[in-house]
Amino acid sequence: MTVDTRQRMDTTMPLEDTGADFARLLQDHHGIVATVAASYCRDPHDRADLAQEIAVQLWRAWPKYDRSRAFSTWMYRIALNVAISAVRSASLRHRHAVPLDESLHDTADPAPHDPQAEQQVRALHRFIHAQSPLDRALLLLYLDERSHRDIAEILGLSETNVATKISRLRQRIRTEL
Amino acid sequence: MEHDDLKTAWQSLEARMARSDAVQLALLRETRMTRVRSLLRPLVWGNALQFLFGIGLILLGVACWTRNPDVAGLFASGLVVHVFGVLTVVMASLVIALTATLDAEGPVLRTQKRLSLLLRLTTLNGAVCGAPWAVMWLLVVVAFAGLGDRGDAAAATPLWIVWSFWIGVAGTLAAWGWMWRQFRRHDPDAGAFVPRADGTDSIRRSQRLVDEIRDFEAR
Repeated sequence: MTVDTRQRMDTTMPLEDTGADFARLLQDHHGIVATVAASYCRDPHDRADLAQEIAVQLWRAWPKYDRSRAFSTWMYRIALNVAISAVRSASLRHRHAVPLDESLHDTADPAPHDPQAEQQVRALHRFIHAQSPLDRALLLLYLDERSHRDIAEILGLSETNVATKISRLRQRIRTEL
Repeated sequence: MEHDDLKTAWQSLEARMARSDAVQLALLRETRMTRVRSLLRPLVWGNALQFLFGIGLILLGVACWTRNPDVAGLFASGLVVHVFGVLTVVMASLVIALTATLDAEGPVLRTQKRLSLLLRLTTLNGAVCGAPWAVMWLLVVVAFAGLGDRGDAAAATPLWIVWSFWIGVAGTLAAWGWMWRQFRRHDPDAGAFVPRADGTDSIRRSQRLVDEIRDFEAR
């Protein structure tokens, strides 16, 4: 996600337009939903369910959305909360028999690329799925190049704490990847 | 992996994830929105019923012990049913109140801590208001008996009631002991949660959630 995705809503928008605006913003930021769903679920059906659940929860929370704040930050909070909670539910977990590399197959890149780059993508994919749900949230936000302030706001940590955790995370990435 | 490689790998992976056929947000139609699912809804309804049931127990208990102040067994049964009714109402109220504070829009860590607390509370609710039914059913029957004509109520307690009572007490203690053991035991299978049929899933899930939050905060 790029910085331009952090667009803010027009606070003077008429109420009747909010449904259409929600659909537009959801479409503009669908990458967040897709990334979070794919990071927390290997099984394609679970992923589809989770993406739907995130979208439904976003719609439910939409009337309370504070338009003076960044949409993507708000979206991340809900997406991660829903994903972390869903991944713990037995209904998703007992279907979790999809091998990791096979789950990457499911999202295979049609464009040809060199084997080393492919290996790195697979290693990163494995690393993401090896993290605990909360660590995975931090990793996703770090990889998405969110600012420390954004990460602090999404996760509910202090900026100092985020900086410390990111520094340790970088160290782990260096040693484990 | 160096930073540039990591960035390139992430961009490639992110692009694949975004292309994933799993995400079909076009399916998000108005009809679906009207059927919003909520995992917590059954919990709230269940506890609302528990609340009403608790009120019923309080009324039954009070009616029994106020009518039988001179019959020790009936008086005690009424009192226990009354207290158990209060516990049932309090636990249901706590679960409903905590559920109401859950907010998917909140910061992730805060929401997960509240979920963890809710999971523990529902587990405690099961232990406090569920397990004792191995013996409470008997006290409720006795309390109902205390509402009618006393007749032989003041006579010696029938043997089957005494036996049933002590068997129920043993069953309740065994259930509590099993739950306590699950609470205390470190789960070596923490990385791969598999549901079990022994009714201890919520205990293990709450333990796992607490462990995850603690590890994340410590790291």
